Amino acid sequence: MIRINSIRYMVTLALILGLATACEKDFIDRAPVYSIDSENYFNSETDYYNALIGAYDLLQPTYINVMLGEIASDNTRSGGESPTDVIGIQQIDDMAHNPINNNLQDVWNWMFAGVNRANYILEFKDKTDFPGKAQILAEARFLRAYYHFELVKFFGPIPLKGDRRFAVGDELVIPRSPIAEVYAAIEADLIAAEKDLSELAPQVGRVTRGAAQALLGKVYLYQNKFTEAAASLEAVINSNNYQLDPDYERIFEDEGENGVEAVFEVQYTDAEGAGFGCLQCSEGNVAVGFNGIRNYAGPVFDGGFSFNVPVREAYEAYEPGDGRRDIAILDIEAWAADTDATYGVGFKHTGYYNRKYIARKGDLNLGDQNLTNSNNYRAIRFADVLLMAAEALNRGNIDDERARTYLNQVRRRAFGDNNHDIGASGAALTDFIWQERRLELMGEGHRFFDLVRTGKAAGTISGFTAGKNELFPVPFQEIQFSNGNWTQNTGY
Amino acid sequence: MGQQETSRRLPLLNATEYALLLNESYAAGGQPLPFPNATGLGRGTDWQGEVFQRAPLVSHDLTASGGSDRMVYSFSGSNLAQDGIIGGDKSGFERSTGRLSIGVDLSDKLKFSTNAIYSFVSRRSLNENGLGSVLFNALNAPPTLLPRDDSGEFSLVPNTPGLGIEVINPLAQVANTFNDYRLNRLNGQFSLDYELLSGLTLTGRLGYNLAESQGRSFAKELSYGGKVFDVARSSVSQNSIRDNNYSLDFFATYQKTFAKHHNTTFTLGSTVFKEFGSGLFATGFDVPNNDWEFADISLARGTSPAGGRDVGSYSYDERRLSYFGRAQYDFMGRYLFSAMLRRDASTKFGPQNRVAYFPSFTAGWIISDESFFGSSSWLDFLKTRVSYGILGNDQIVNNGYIGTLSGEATYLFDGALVNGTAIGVLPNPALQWEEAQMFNVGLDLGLSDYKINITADYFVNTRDNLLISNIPVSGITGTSAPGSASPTVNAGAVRNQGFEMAINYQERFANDLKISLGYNIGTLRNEVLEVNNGTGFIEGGTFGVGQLPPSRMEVGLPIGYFYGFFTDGIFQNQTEVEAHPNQSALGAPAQPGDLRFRDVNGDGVIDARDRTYIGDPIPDVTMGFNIGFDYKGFDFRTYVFASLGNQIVRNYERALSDVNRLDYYLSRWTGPGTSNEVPRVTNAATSNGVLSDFYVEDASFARLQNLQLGYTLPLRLSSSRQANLRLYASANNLFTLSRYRGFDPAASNGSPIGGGIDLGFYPIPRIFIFGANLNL
Repeated sequence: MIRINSIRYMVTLALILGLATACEKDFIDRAPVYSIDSENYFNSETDYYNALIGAYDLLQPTYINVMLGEIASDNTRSGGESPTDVIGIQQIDDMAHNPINNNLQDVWNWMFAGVNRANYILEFKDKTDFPGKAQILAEARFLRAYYHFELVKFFGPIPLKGDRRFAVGDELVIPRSPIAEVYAAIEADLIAAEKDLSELAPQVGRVTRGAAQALLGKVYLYQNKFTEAAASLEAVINSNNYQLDPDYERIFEDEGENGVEAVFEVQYTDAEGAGFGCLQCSEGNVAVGFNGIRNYAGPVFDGGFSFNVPVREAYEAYEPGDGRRDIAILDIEAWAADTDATYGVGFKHTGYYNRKYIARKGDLNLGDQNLTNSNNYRAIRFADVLLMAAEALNRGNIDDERARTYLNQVRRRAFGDNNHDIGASGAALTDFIWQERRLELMGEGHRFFDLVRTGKAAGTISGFTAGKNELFPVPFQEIQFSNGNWTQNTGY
Repeated sequence: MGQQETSRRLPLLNATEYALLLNESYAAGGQPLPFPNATGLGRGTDWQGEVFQRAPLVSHDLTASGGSDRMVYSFSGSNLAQDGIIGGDKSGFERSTGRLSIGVDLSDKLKFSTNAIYSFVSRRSLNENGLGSVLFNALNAPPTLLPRDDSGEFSLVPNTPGLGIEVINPLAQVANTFNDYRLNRLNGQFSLDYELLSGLTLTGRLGYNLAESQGRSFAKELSYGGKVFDVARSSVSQNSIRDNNYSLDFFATYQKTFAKHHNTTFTLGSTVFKEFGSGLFATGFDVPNNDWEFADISLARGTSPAGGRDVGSYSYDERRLSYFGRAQYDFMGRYLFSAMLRRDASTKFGPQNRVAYFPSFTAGWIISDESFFGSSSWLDFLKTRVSYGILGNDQIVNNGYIGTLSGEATYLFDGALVNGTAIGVLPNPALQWEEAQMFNVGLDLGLSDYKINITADYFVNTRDNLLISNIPVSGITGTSAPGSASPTVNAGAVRNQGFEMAINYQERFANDLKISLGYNIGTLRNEVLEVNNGTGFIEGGTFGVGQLPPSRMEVGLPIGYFYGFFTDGIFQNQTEVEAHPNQSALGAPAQPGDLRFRDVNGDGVIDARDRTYIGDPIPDVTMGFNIGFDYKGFDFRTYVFASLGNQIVRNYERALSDVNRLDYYLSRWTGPGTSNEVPRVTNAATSNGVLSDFYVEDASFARLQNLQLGYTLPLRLSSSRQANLRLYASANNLFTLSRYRGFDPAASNGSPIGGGIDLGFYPIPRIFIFGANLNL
C-alpha cells in the first residue's frame, strides 16, 4: 500500500516540477524594466532626433582640443599652478609629451565616443522613414566628419569602421587607415551632408549647409587641395548667409554668441553643475575655467586656473592700431593697475591671459563654477572662412585679387580703416595671410595645426622636432589594447 | 556602553618642519621662499588632533525564549547607538532591531516555523574615504594655519598655488555637512514541513527581505574661498529607495535505509529567487534661510534652468530559477557519498547563456570506525574527505548583456538644454556564468577524548570565466562618453590554492579551570591562468593623477598585482644621473636627489616598458589565534588575527607643493649621501611620483582584535529561581603590529584588479566596552 502511495506522490511531485519548468520561460524571460534596448531603437523621428542630441553632446569635450591647439603652438604657455599641474598639458607645452598623456588620451577617447554616437545613428539609417530624416542623417555625417577631422589632426592614421559602431575587439583587427583614407571619408561625409543640410539651422546650435561647406573647405585646405577648398569656401561666402560682425569684441561676449559671423559654434551653458570626475559630462566650457585668471578678484572677469597663457611675443605680434590685440589678449598687470583688480601668479606666468576664452562675471556659477562657464566655442567664424578662402585662392594660384579682397575685409575690421590693406601677391601674400590667421584667430585653437600643415612648426615652436611632433602619440594604452595591430606614431 | 577612538594617527610634520620643508622645495624649484622667517612657528595646528575624537557607544540587548513541547518561541530586541570618531554626531549611527521566531508543530506531520527581524537604522555621514574626505583634509591642511581666525570663524585654507582647490578646513567641512538617512528593513522566513509518508518530507520555504530607505542631504550655500566645495546655490537632495527580494524553496526529501546499513537520502527541489526595487531621486534648490531646518523639497522651490533634470529614478527586476537534486548515501555512517546537480537560470545573462548546470560530489571515510583501527587510546576520531564541485556566480550589474539607452545626451539647442538618448554601459552579449570549480581534500582528527581537534584541508579553487565589471577597453568603442562605461566581461581564469589547518584544544581541569586554545592558519597562492582578451592582461585601478593603471591581471601572476617600476636608490650626484639610462620618458629628466629606476628590459632607456611586478595585495598566509580561560566566575577571551605577505600601495599623499606630509620626509635627500630612500623635495616636475616600489609597502599585520574579561555573579532570586549577572570589559582592535605607514594595512576597496591601493581609507576604531548581561 505504501508503495502505491509513494508512486502516486512521486508522480504528483514530478507533475509539480514539470509545471514549474513550463513556468520558467515566463519567469526568466522578463524584459528589463524601464529601459530601452539600444538595438531595438530608431522607431520614430523622435528616436533619431534624441540620438542626434547624443552625437552633438561630444562637441563639448573638444574644449581640450582647443586648449592644446594653442598650448602646443607658439601662442601660449601651459601655465597652471605648478610644473605638475595637469602634467599632460605641461609636457605638450614643452614638446616633451610621450604616449602616456591623460589629455591626449581624452582627445582620443572623447572624439571616438563622438564618432560612435554618430555611427549609432548611421548604422540604423534605413530603419524608419520620416520627412526630415535626410537633415538628421546629414547632421550625423557632419558630426562624424568633425570628430574624424579632430582625430586625424591629432593622431594621423586612425581606424575607420564605416556606418557601424566600433565593438570591443575591433582594435585587434581593424588597422589604422592612412591619413589620405581618413580625409577621403571626411570629404565623403561632408559632401553628402552639404546636399541635405538646410541653409538655416532648424534650431540654433545645429549644423547648417554653410558649416559643412566651410569644414569641407578647411579639410581640403589641410590637404593642399586648393581648387576644391576655394570652391567650397567661396560657396559659403557667396551664400550671403554670413558676414563679419563689425564689432570684433562683441563676438566673444555673451551677446555675440551665434551671431552673424558664426558659421559653426559649439554650444555651452552654465545651467548645469559639473565635476572633475567627468569633465566630458560638463555642459559648460571647461577650457574657460582652466584659462581663467588665477585667484582673480575684480570687475568683468571671473577667476580660473591660469592655463593657456599667451606669451609676450604673441601680444607684440599685433601692429599698432590693430584693435584685436586687447580683445584677444588681456594684459593683466595693466588691467589690475586700471581697475584695482587683484590676481595670483601661477606657473609660467606671462602677465597675459587668453581674453577671448576666460571666465566672465554674470553666469550662474553652479558648482564647480570653473567647469561650467557658458562661453560658446566659435569653432568656425566667417573671418576664418575668408582667410581660408584667401589662402586657397592664393596658394592655388587661382586669384590673388580675390584673395586680397577677403584678407583685407578682415584687416579693415581689425584696424577700422582701409589704410592697412595688403597689396602683396604670390608668396608674400601667403605670408601675410598666415600672419593674419594667427592674429585674427589668436586663442581659438587653430595655431598649432596651421603651423603643422604649412610646414612652419619646426623653428617656430620651441622644442618641435620635425618628422615627429607633427602628430601626437597614440595613447599608450590604445597601443597595448591593439596588441600589435597598431604601431605608434614615428618618434614616440 | 563603550567608547571608540582612532586606532592610529599618522606622523605628520609640525608647523616648523613643514615651513622648512616648503622653503627647501620652493628653492629647489627656483621660486621664492614661502616662509622667509620660519622661526616661532612652533608645532602649529595638529589637524588630526582637531578632527579625531573619542566617541561614545551604547548598546542594549534583551532576549526571551520559551516554549512547550509543541511550540518554541523567542524574541529579542537590541539597540546600538554610536557617534563617529570623526565628526561625533555628524557621523552618528543608531540601529534598533527586533527579532521574533516561532516554531509550532501543527500536527505530528506538519511543522511550521517562522522568524522575522525588523531593523531600523538612522545614520548621518561625512565624506569618508579618499580625496575630499575630512581625513584627507586633515592630512593635507597646512599646520601653520589655525583652525579658527581671530573672529572665531573657521579659517579658510588659502586658495594659493600649492594648496590647490581641493583642500579645505576639515572642521568647517564637518560643521557644514548636513544629511540623514533612515532605513526600515523587515526580513524573515516562513517554513512548512510536511511528512507525507514515513521518510518522505515536503518542505516549502519562503524567505523575504523588504527594505525601504530615505536619504536627504543639504548643500548649504557657502564659500571656502574658491574651492571645489563652494556652493553657489543651496539645494536639498532627497531620495527614496526600495529594495526587496524573496526566495521560494520547494523540495522533497526522501530518507530510507536499506538492509539495515545502507542509508540513503534523496532531495529534489527548486528555488525561485527574485529581487526587485526602485529608487526615486529629486533635488530642490534655494533652501529657505540656507538652513538645514528648512531643507525639504517642499520648501526649496527653486529648480535648475530649463532643460536641467532635477529628478531621477531607476527600477530593477532580477530573477533566478534553480532546480536541484541531491543523492546521499552512506554505509553504516562510515563511508559517505553525495552527489548533487543544480540547474540555474539567471536574468543577468542573455537568453543563450542563461542556463547552466553545476554538479558537485563529496566522499568521506571515517577511518576510526573501521574494525582494523582498533580502539586507540589517544585517537578518537579520524575522517578523510574529498570533494569537487562547481558553483555558479551571477553577482554582477543588471542588464550587462544588453545595450540600454542610459547614457547621458545633453546639449543645447536654441539656447536651452535638451536631453536626448545615448548608449550607457557598453553591453557584453556574450556574458555567461562565472564558475567556481572547487576541489578539496581534508582530514578531521579528534585526539585525547576530543580535547584536541584538528582539521586540515588542501584546496584548489579555480574561478573560470571570472566576472569583472568596468574592465577598461579601447577608447574607440566610445566608453568615455558621458554616462557610458566599460562592459562587464568574463575576464579569464584564476586559481587559488592553499592549505588550511585549525587546531583547537579544550580542557576542563578539576579546579574549575577551563582552558580553550585555538589556532588556525591558511596559505594562499593566487595565479591567473587565463585572460580572455588578445593582449594577455587586463589593467585597472587608479594611482596618483594622470598615471597609467597600477594593477594588472596577467597570466602566471597573482590577480591585481601592482605593475610599476623598481627603484634602485637615489641619484646622489650628476655623475650618477649621467651614467644611468635616461628617465625623461617618465615625465621629467632626472636630477640628483631623484629616484633611480631600474632598466628592467635593458634597452638603455627608462620608459613605461620597464614596469614589472612590484607586489600584490594578496596575503600569503593568514592566521588566527584565540585563547579562553574560565575560572570560577571569571572568563577571559582574546583573539589575534595576522595577515602576512601582502603589499599595499600608498596613494593618499597629495602631489601638491604646499600640502602637509608624513614625517618620513624629514629623512629626505638633501645632498650627496643624505638619503638613498626618500627623494628630494621640489615643486619642479620630477618623475618621482610614478608608481614604483617607493610607494609599495608591506601590509603584513597582526592585530589584537578582541580582548575580553568577564565575571559572572550568581544571583539567587528565590529558592527555585536562579539568575546570573555577568559584568565584562572588552577592547576591540587594541593594537595592530604593522610596518605600514598609513591608517589601516587591511584597507582595500576590494576590487580584484585595483584593490590594495590605499586612497586614504579611515582607520578602524579602537573600541572599549563595559557591559553587563543579566540572565533570568
